[in-house]
Amino acid sequence: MSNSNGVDSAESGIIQPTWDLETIIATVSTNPEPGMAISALHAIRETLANGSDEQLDFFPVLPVAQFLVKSLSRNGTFEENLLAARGIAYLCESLPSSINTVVSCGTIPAICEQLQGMEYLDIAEECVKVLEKIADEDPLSCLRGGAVTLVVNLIVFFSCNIQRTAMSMVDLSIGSCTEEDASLVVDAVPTLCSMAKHEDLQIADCATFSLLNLVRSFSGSSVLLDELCKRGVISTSIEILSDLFGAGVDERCINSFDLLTTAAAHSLLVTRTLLELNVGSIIRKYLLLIPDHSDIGYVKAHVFLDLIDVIVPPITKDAEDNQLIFCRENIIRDEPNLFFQFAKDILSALVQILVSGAKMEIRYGCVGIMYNITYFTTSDMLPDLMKNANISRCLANLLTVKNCHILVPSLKIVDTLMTKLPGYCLNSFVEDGVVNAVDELVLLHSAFAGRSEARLEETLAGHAHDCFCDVLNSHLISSSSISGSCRVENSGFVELAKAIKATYFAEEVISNVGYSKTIKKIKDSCMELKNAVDLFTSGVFSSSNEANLSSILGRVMRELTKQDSMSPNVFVKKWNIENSEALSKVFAWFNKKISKVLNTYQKIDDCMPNYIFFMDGKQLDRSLTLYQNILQQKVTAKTGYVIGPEFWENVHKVTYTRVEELSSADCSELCLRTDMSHYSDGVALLNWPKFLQSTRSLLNEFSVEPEEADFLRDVFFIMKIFESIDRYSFQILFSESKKDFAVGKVKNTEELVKVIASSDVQKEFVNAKLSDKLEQQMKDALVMKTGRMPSWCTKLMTSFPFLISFESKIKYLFLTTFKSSVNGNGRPEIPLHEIFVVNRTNILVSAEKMMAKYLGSGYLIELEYAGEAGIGVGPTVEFYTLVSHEFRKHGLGIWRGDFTSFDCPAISESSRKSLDSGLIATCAGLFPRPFSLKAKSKSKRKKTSKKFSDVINKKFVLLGQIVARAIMDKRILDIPFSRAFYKLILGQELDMYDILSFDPDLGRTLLEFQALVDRKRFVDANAELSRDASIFSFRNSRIEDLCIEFALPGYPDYTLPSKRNKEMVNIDNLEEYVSLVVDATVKSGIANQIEAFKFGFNKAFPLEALQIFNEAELERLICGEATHWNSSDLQRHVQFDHGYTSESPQAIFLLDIMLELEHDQRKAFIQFLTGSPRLPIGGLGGFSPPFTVAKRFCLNVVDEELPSVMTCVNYLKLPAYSSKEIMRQKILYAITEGRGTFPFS
Amino acid sequence: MTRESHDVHRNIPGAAAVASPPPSPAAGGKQTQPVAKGNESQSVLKRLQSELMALMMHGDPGISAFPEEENIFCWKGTIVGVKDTVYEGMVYKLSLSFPTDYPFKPPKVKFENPCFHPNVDLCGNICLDILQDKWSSAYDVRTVLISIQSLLGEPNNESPLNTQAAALWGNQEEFKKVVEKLYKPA
Repeated sequence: MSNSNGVDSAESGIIQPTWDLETIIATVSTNPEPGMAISALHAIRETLANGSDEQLDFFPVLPVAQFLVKSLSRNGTFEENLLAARGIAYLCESLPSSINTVVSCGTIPAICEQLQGMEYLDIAEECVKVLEKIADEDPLSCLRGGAVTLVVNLIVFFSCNIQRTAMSMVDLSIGSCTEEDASLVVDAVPTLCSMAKHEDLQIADCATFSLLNLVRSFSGSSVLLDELCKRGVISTSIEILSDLFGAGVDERCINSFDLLTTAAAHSLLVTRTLLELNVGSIIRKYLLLIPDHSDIGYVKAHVFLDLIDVIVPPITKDAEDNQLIFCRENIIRDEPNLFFQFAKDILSALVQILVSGAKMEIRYGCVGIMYNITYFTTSDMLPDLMKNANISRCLANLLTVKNCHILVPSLKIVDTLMTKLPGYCLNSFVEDGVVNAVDELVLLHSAFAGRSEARLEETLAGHAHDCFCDVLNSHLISSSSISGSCRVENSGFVELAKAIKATYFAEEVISNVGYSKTIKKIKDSCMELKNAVDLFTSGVFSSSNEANLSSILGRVMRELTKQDSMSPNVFVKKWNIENSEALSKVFAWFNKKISKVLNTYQKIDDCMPNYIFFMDGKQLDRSLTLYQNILQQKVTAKTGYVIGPEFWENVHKVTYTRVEELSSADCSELCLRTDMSHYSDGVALLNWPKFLQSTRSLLNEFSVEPEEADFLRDVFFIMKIFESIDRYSFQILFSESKKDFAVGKVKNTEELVKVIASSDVQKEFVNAKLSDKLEQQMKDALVMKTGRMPSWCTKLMTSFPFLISFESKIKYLFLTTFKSSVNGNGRPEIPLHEIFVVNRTNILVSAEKMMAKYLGSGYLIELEYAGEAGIGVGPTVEFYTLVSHEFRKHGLGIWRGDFTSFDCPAISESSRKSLDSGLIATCAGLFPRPFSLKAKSKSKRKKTSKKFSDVINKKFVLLGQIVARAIMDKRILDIPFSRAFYKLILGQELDMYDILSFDPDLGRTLLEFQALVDRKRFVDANAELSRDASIFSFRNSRIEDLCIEFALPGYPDYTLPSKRNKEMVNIDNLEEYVSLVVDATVKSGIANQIEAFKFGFNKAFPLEALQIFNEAELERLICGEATHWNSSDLQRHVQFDHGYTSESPQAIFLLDIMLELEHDQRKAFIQFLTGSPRLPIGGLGGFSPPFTVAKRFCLNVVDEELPSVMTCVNYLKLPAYSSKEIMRQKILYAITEGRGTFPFS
Repeated sequence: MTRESHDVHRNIPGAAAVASPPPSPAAGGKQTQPVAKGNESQSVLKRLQSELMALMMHGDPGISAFPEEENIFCWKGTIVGVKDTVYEGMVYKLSLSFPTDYPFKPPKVKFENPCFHPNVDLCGNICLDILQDKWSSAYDVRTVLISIQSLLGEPNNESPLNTQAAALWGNQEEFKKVVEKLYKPA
C-alpha cells in the first residue's frame, strides 16, 4: 500500500509526503481533481494505519472526518467512496474517541445513503464495519439514523464474516432501543428471526440476543409485543428451542426461554400464541432433562419453570396487575383444549421431577406451578390429567417432605383437587396414601404440642436459610413482593392439614369410600378364593380343583403386586377394616397349601404309617399336617391364639411310638423344629421362620404403629410366599403330578411331564413405591458419600429383593459394594484409570496377568493391545468380548457340550459346522461339565486327571475374576451361561429340575425315571398292589431294555461312586442311578469348579453382594440386554418371502412391533421363534438360515388367526393382519401363551 | 504418562515369557483325549449292540442299518419306499451318528442320497420331531427308521423344509416325476 501511495503522489506531483493531513485536505478541497482526492484518502489511511503515536495524538479529527464524509456522500467514483468508507473505519478503530465527532459530521446519513443505493457490495461492507464501530460507542444514533433496518435488509448479501459484524452492530444498536424507536426496528424483525436460526452459531446467538433485547425493551407495551409476535418472534423462538433440544442447555436456549417468558408476561397475544404452538411439549422435553442431569442447576431449571409460571396466571393477585391476570385467566377459560394439552404435558413432567428427588429449590418451584395448574383446570379435565401423571402418588410423596415450603402448596393442591372432583380424587388419594400422609401431618403437630413451638418449626422448616420464597422470582409480575422475609408461616400447614382432614377426609367418609377398583377386585377374588378353599377343605380333592385354586391365587397375587396399584400400607388398612376374616381364611388356606406341599416331602403318612405322634400328651390327628396339628393344639390351649413369630421360633416337642409296639416303652423323643427348610428331595422350598424374622426386623425399621405392624408383616410375608411359590411352581406342580403317577392316577410317564410352568412374573412383584423410596434414600448426600445405607434398606434388600426394580438394584449394588454412585450415563465414577497392555495372541494369559495385578483395585482398567495404537474404551470393551469368546471355545474342556475334548467318534455335520466357528453352540447356555476327583483305579490315569482338574479349576478362578471385574467396570461379557449356572453363582443349590434348563433331554428323562422310582416305592410300601412289571415301564419299555450302563451319560470317564459300576440300570437300582447322575451333574461333579469360580470372584468383591438379583437379572447384569436390536439390524437381517415383501404393510408393522417390544418380550419373541431365549452369535444376523417372515394363508377370518413358527428354519408365518394393533396383540399372545407350555409337552 | 510407560515395561517381558510354554487350553485338550478314548465307548456300546440285535431280529420290511466299519458310533441305514407311495421302490441311504450321551440324546440322522420330500432339505437334513425335542430314551434305531419310512408317505406339510416339495405334494403324479428325476441311487 505504501508503495502505491508513493507512486500516486509521485505521479500527481502535488501532494508531498511531507505535508501534514490538514494541508492535504485543504489542498484537495480547493482542487476538485478526483485523482487528488484519492491521493488524499490514501494519505489519511496511511497515517491512521502506520502513523506514530505522536501523529495520532494530534490527528485533525474534525477536518478529516468532514472530508471523509464528504468523499463518501459525494457522487464520487467507486474508488473514492470505497476509500472514504475504509478511511472512516480506520479512523473509528484507531481513534475511538473520534467516534462522536464522526457521527456529528453526518456519517450515518451518508452511510445510509450508500446502503440504500447498494451499488457496490465492497462499499456496503465497509459501511457495515463503520456502523459496528459507531454502534459500540453510540448505539442510539445508529438506531435512530435508520441504519439497523438498512443493514438487516442487506444482510443476506454479505459474506458470513460481514454478517457477523452486521449482527453484532444490530445487536449493539438494539441494546439501547426504547419503545419510541419501535418503528425503526419492527421491519427488521422478520429478518432477525431468520438470522436467529442461522447455522453460524455466532450469528444465531447475536440475533437471538437482539430479539431478547427487543422484547425486553418493549416489555412495557403489549401493543408492541403483539406486533413482534405477529412478525414471528415467538414462533421462531419455539423453533429454536425444539431444534436446540438435545444439544444441551446453552446460552441461546436460555435466552430463548427468557424471551418467551418476558414476552408472555406482558402480552396476551403471546400467551395465546404459545399455547397454540404447543409450547407445553417443548417445555416438557426440557423439564425432563432435570431428573437425569444433576448438572442442570436450579438457575437453569427455573428458566424453564418461569415460562410456565407466566403462562399460568398466579392465584394470588397483586392489585396493579389485576387486569392482565384477569385476561390471562380468560384465555385459559376460552381455550380449554389448548390449556388441557399444556397442562397434560407439564404436569406429568413435574411429577417426574418431583418424585426423582431433585433439589429442594426446584421441587418448590414445581409444586407452586402444579398448584397453579390444578387451580385452573376444570373438573372435567382432571381425571385425564391425574391418570396421565399419577398426581396423587406424587402428592403422597411430597407430603412426607418435612419442609413447610413444600407442604403448604402440596396441601393446597390436595384442597383444590378435592373441591373440584371429590369422588374421583378421594379414591385415588386413599389408594395412594395421601389421606394417610395428611393424617400424619396432623398427628405430628399434636405430637409436638407439648413442646415448644420453636422446636416444631425447627423440625419442619429445616433451617432458616432454606427459605425458597424468592427462588421463583416471578420477576416480572410481582417483583414488589420480594422481601427478605419468608412468606410462609411455619405452622400454617398444620392448620391447612387440619382443615383438609376435617372437610374432606373425615373418618366416616373414608371408611365409606367405595372400594377402589383394585381393592374391589382383590376382595372379589378373595371371596372366590375363600369359597374354593371351603370346597377344598370339605374334602373334594382333585387336581382340577387345585388348578382352579392356583389360578385364583395367581389373580389375587397379580392384583396385590400390580405396579402402582396401591401401597402396602393402604392395602393393610383396607383389610383391617373389613376383610380380616377373609384374609385369615386365605392365609389359613395358604398355610395348608404349603403344608400340603411340604407334606409330600415329609411323607408323614406315607413313609411312617406305623407311628403315632403325640404332642403335650395328646395324640395328633393323622389326617392333618404336622403344622396344622401344632396350630390346633395351640388354639385349643388358648383361645384367640395368633400365629406370631414365636410359633416359628419355639421348639415344639413331638413324641412318637410305633403302633405295633404299643405296649413297649420304646418311645423316643423326636425334636422337630418347625424349621422346614430341607426335604427329602433336597428342594429348599420355604424357610418360614427366616421370613418372619426378617419381616419383623424390617418392620421395626419402618417405624409403623404396632397394630399396623402385624398386618404389614402379613403382607410382606404373603408376598414372600407368593414369590417362592412362583419360583418353585414347576417343582411343586411336578411333584404333585409325580405323586399322582406314583399312586397310579396317571398312567404314563409321557403325561406326567405335561405340566404347565408358570410364566415369568418376577417383574410383577416389583413395587414401584418401595423402589422410589430406595432411590430417594440413595440420593441422600450422606449415603452417597459413605456408601452406607440405613439398616432398613439392607434388610429389605436381603429379604425382599424381589420388590425392588432391577435399575434400583444396580444402583444399590454400586453404592454399597463399590462405594460409587452411578451417574447419568451409567458409569461408575472411578477417577483413576490404569492402562494395561494385552497380547492379542494369548488373550487368556493376558487376562490372568491383568487380574493378578488389578483385580481388587478401585481403578478403572483400560486396555491397549501390544503393537496397536488404540487405547481406551473401544479396546477394553473388545477385550472382554474376546475373553468371553476364549472361554466359549471348543477344547477348553470346561463346559458341557464341548465334545472336542473327547475323541468323539461321531461328530455330526451340524456340530462340525459349529466347530468351524470355534465356539460351543448351545441353545440352553453354558454349564460346567462334571469332573470327578476320584479317578479310576489305574494310577496313571489318576495322575493325569488330578493335573487336569487343576487346569480346569484355574480356568474357573479366572472366569470368576473376569466376571467380577466386568461387573465392577460395567463391561459386558458375551458369554451365555445357563440359568442354572447363574443360580450357582447366587449360591443356590441345584436339583434335578435345574438339569432341564441346560440339558433338557437328560433332565426330562431323569424326571421320568424319578417318577418311576416314586411309583416303585409306593407299590413296595403297599404289598397288596400288583407288582406287574408293566407298571414300571418307561414309555412302554422296561428299564433294563434301555440298556443303560451305570455310568454318567456322556462322561464315561466320570466315576460314579457306586459299587454297581459294571451293571446295567434296572428298576431296582434306578433310584440310586438317578440320584448319582443328578449328584454328579449338578452337585459334587461341579462343586470344585464352582468353588474355584467363587474363589476367583471373591478376590474382587464379595459374591454375596449379587444375591439381591435373581437369575434373570444377573444375566442382564453380566451379559447386558441379550436381545438387542435396532431398526437397521431389523432392516438388514429380517427377510420377507412367500407373500410378503419388505414394503408390505405387514412387514412394516412387524418391524415396528419388534422394535417396540420390551426386554422380556424380546426374549420371549426369540424363544418363540427359535426355541432359545438368546440370539445366536452375531445377533439377528447370526441366524442360519436367515430369519424369514412368510405369509400365513388362513381359511378363516385373518384377524383371528395366530402367527406360527418353524423353529427348524427360523420361519415366522404371519397372517396378513389388517392393523398393527391387532398384529401386536396376536404376537404378544403367541409369545407369552406359547411359552407357558413346557417344551416337551 | 510415566505410569503408562512403566506398565508397558513390566508387561511386555511377561507376555514374551509365557509364549514359550504351550498355551494351557491346548494342554488341557490333549490330556482329556487319552482319558476319554476307549473308555467311553463301553458305556454306550451295550446299548448300541442290543439295538443292532433287535433290529436284525425283528426283520422289519424295508429298513436296515449296520455300523460303519470299526466305529460303532456311526451307522449306515437304508429305507425302501413303501408300496403305494410316490417313493415306491426307491432305496434311500441314511447316516446315523450317535452322541456319547446316547440314548439321552437323539442320534443325528441324514439322507445320504438326494430325497425330494417336504421335510427333507437339500443337504439331507430331516425335520422330524422325535429326532429333536420329542426324543425319548425309549426310542431306538429301529423306531427312528420306521418313523422316517412312514414320514416319506405322510409328510408334515405344515412345517416344510423344502417348500417346493410341500407345494407340489397335492399333485402326486407331478411329485412322483420330480422324485424320480432327482433320485440317485447311493
